Amino acid sequence: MSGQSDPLVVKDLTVAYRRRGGVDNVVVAGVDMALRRGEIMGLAGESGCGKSTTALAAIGYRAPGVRILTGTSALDGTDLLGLSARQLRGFWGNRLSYVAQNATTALNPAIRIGEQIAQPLRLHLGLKGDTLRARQVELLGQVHIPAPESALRRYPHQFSGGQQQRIAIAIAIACGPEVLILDEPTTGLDVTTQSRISALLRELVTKTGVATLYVSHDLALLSTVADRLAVMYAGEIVEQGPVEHFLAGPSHPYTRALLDSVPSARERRAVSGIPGRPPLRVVLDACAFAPRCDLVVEACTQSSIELVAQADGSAVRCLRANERSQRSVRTLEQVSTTEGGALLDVRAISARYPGATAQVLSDVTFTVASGETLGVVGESGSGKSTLLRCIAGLHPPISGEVAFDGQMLAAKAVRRPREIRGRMQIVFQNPDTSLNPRQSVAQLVGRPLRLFRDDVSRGDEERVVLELLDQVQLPGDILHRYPSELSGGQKQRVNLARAFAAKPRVLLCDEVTSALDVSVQATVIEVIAAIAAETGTSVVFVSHDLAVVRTIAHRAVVMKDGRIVEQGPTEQLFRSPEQPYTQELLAAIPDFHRGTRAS
Amino acid sequence: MTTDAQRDAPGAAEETPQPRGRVRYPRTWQVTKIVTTSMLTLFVISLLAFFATNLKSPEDVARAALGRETAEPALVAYAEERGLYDPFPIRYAVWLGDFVTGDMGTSLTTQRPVADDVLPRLRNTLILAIASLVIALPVSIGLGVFMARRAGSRTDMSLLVGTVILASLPEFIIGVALILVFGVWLGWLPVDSTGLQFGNAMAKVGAFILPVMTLVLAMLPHISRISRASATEALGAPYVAAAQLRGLGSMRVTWDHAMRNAAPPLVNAVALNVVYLLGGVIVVEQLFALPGIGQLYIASIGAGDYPAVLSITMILGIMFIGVSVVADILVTVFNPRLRAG
Repeated sequence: MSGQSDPLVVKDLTVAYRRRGGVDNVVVAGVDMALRRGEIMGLAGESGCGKSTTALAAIGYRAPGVRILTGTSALDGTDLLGLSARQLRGFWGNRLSYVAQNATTALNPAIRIGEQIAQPLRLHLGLKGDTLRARQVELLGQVHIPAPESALRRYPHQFSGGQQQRIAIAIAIACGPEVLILDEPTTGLDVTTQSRISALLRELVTKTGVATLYVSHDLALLSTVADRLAVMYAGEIVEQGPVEHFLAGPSHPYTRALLDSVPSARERRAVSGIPGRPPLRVVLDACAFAPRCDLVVEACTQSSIELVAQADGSAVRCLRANERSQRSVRTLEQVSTTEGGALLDVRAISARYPGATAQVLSDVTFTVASGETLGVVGESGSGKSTLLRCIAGLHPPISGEVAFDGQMLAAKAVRRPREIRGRMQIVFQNPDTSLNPRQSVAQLVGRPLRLFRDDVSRGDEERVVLELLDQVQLPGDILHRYPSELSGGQKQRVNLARAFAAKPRVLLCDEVTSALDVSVQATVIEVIAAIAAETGTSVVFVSHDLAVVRTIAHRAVVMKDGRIVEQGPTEQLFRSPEQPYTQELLAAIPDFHRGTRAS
Repeated sequence: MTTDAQRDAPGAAEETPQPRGRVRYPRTWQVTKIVTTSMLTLFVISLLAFFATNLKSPEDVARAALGRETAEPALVAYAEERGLYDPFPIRYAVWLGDFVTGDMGTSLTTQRPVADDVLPRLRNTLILAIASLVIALPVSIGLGVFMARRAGSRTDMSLLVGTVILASLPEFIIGVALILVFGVWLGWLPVDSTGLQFGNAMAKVGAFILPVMTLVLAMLPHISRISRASATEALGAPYVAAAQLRGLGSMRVTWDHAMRNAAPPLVNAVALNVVYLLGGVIVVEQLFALPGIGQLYIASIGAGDYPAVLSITMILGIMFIGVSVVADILVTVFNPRLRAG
């Protein structure tokens, strides 16, 4: 599969986390891969599957506690894993470069951009004076930073997130590396920014021929930017091959399940989460995916499964590759939402941040019908979260009003009557910070019962909490656990159970899935859609992810710079957007089934 | 698809984000703000200090100065001569005017200008404080970074335990222990500060060694633990890994990349420690009989010498405030986000 001339050849890489006084926790096992000149290799998988660890180990970087147990990683024949720290420093930033996920934290906030670009240039190439300066300016120009000369004197916080990532890329390519490792380089950026960065990367790879490893959880994105793909699960590559192989239909049940859990912005279809959780370490004597696989047979759990080469140049680690399961992806039928009047009536809301003069929201008006799910999409800074906070009474608007069931609401939640507060519940973006870490699940979910549900007696409380947990697909045995003992997806479902405990008529969701993995996101979307349909709850679903909104919302509102750009029934909006901004947003979304390369 | 040609240009749509929710001020304005608020604080300190030292009736003040047996008319005459019957605001204004022009009044006990007693002692105190700081800062920051770089190791753990033990010892215990070891058992250094007045240059330096060591040991555990904490945090930041992966050496990464970001919390912590140090100075001066303002402070309070007490209170206040002003300004230097660009 790999020729001797490939710039970076990884063989049998096994990595473990050291555990104090215990057995090492093997997190990556037997990874083989080769990065080819001028090609992007995509490495996909959910969080914790070992993809970042693999990428870093491949260039010889050992994070604290990480041990490389076996394997070689050869850069032009030199095994990087056998080099001393001092020798490796001569390669890093020079012939091997790395771009971290979040440039806001990966660029040093206290050092000017120019100096950060200059450091590898001075160190590895010995540039100084005018040559150094010329190269700095040239690099910023290459990544399309406007006014490079003055940009050199600025600090990272003076650039937007997208520009910061461009700068990080400029530093990485400064010394003309042979190998470039990108670790989730566009995660957390807006879709339009993401597509521009992807295009830039593609352009740089084509121009410089650098062999690139692109790590991402986003298969759809990788399918548009990479030449070849590898999917990791529990520290092993379970499927790899040319991108065309994946577009034609992946062979491994995990890859397929992963794709089913990804919402699509192209078509309205239900998403299905993958039941269970991935193992936290490598499973050596069985197929690691077997407990979650619906094609599992006895042989899957009896010995380790080999990665077997297929006819189309791909390789799959599965005994039942290419067999299709019976589970099918449903297409959601369009629910008519005209019945009933407006439950929530938002009239001409304008808002600004305290102390600032610029408006975050200007004249936002819309209604939400009873039982309807309204999606609110927009890029970061479009004011969509502030809008939700205004409705919830957490951010008093400067003008405009919110009516609930025909009744005008006070601007501040504390001034609203108790019944109204119970009828309107909010779930926040970050599940790690929105649950009180000192309260058990029983206390967290039981609290709104005491506050808002006079129909539930103290004696009934535990039973009702268990029912609610069951509704959000959580097992009853987590009742007495604390948030720190739960995964991100479980925490978010506890948040949902808590919100539904008050029997709300409106549920406000602020980016509730953006901190979660796709398979977990799918479960959360399923839960919200199911309970809302069953109880007739209206949902206002704020998200930057158009695909998620298309999956869940009956109607959608597109926001930009604090204004509504366009609104209408989701299907109509996504099929035939009228406003140029909506069209641009839709065009920027990578879609797995589109299969067009952003080159 | 795109209608707006400008938007298509990469970077154009990713303009520098406009600051939201807060207003940016130029650096000079920030410094002005820091200095103004500290002047206000100082003003309040002076009001409180003046009030607290002027609670006694004019006759009592006169009696404290002239002696217990002095007759009533003499007391009244003394009080009148010094304007002690004037209303509070006027007395305050007169005192403030005198103080800022360097006149600290006359001591009630020695009948000499307070400045003559305070200033030579202030010199000793400043030598003690600055020498302790100059030694303690690099040693404890170095120790903290040393610990942070091997955080979790046995060396780190034993140093952590050691600093906790040291931190729980008050200055006078440390001082007495040092006197016992170096002064009594080994006999290398003087146990008090008589050398300062009567000895030669060597003896003068010698007189400072144990007091300085005491203060250094008192500050070391605090500053090193804070340095360790902020260095550990900074060393774990993604930009440190990114700097390593650009091939920079570990010293360069630690000091240039990590510590630059660890500095702001550290500066604040050090400022608090300097304030603590000034308290420690009073104890240490007393312990080693070192003629500094701390020792004078205690003596003046005991003797009811209110002009001296007031002056020293103000000097200590100015030192406290001065240190925090310097710290606040340093923080804006180290943190570019607090600066305008």
